[in-house]
Amino acid sequence: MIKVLIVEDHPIVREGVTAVLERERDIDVVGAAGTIGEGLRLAAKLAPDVVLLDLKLPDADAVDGVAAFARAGRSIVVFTAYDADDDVFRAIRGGARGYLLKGSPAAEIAQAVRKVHAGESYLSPRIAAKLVKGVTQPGGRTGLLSARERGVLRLVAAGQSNRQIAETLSISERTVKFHVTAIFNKLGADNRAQAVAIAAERGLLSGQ
Amino acid sequence: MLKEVAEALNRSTTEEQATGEALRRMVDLLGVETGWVWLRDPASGSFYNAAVQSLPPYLQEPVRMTGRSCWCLELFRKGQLTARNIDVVGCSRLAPAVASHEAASTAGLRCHASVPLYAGDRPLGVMNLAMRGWRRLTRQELDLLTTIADQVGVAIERARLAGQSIEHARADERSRIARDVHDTLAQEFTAVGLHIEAGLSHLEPRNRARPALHLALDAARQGLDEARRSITSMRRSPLENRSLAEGLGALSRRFTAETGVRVRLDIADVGAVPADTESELFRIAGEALTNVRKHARAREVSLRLHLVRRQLRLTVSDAGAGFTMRGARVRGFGLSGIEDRARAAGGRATIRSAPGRGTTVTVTVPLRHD
Repeated sequence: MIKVLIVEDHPIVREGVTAVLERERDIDVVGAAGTIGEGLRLAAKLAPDVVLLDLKLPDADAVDGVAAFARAGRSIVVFTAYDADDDVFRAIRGGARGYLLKGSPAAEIAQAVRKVHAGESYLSPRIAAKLVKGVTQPGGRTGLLSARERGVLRLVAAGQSNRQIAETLSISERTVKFHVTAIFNKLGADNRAQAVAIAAERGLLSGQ
Repeated sequence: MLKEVAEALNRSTTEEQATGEALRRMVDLLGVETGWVWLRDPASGSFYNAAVQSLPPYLQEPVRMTGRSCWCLELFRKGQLTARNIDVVGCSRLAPAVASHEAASTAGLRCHASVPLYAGDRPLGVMNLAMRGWRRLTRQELDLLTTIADQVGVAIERARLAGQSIEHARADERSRIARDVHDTLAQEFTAVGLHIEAGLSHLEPRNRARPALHLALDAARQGLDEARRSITSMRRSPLENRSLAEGLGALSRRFTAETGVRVRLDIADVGAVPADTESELFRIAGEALTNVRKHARAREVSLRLHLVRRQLRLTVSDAGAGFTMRGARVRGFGLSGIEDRARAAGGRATIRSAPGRGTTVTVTVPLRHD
């Protein structure tokens, strides 16, 4: 069972998320909080595997919230109505590995929880597409990443696993791993979501 | 005399009126012909030329009247120009022409009395009254200048505050609505969608309630998208939470400070305008001013925003060099950018120009009332 804590200040949304996640056999909503403070207390007590975190809470700046849960060693999926680039960048840099837009289908919420629990990343397709399509700043230093690395990173952004990327590009999975490691090193990223966000923010994905 | 000045200033509701009125009175008072006013842009700290009267040909070139520093502005900036020591100083802007004996282009002028303008102890700018030669101001002249300068300062400050309080109220109102949209609509649509999905998951695959619930789910997601769009467009606005009127004012002051080309602002109260439309109009104004700077060689631009038959009309016109439409397209005047933006806002742009006849960019956008 994946234990999930919901931190969200709107009761009606908390109930909605709980209602859909309770339908999943492998997910258990262990608690819900309306503020960062309460959420941190509950997290210490309930030891959830994944925290589903709204970005707009009454008692702290969104990114402070992300950082606080990250420091407490929790895996974080952001669950927010906002899709502004800045929010995405800051949340992911702060340590969130999932970024879900409110309005995502229930199945997607469950998938994000599972992926992040498994140590992977998950970005809502709309967010990934936005990042890749280049809300990117003009004049980015595309030169940092090779054309192949940019290609790999776009597929990473689309949520593909190394094996899927290998198939798409007709290269071996080992080569994909090699590229992904190189991308992480060049960008100073710890995970896939971070790599995509950093690259998009610096305008590294805009070249062909 | 003083009473008359005070009344005239009291009638001035805009900064432009107040400075223009004050300059006319002061010029009369000293028995000179020429004067100009520098004001400091509160936002950027740079000086812009806010009013002029009968400038000599040399100073009519906009490049001579940019906000770059000169003797009088330097004295003012250092706080050495105060109401107590109104002084006649040589004009460093005229100096090169004076040195090369270009009497025709300077109209014989070489120095000016510099009257500092303050609102209380807040420095606003400098009013210069030009003279042919150095002369000591009489005690009586000094007293009058000081008294009027105080009134001018108050009038400018009052005009600015009046504009600001209306605009601030409106900007605040806008961000409050943005918060409300987020906090209520977006969250409720999210919850409605989730509950419908939870409900659907309990229904048999062939249950006849499914199609209706799927339609409701789509509607909830569309509602959420709509709420998200309006929040995003407010956050992304180039106006950064200022109203369109405030933004256009700031844009004009910066333009004048950088180019020396004065902007005649005429902004009507157009009421509430959708954030997207405001953003596009603001960017169009910026692009039109960029064209004036690069190509028009104009001395003055007029920037107007009005409501005409429920349509917003933004007009940027100059009496500068002008161009043929074909030449403009070839040389990349950014006209298609203006046209695209006007279309994006649901309106259209008309650009009229001819060599030697100036340029007028008019953008009309219908205001939706839904």
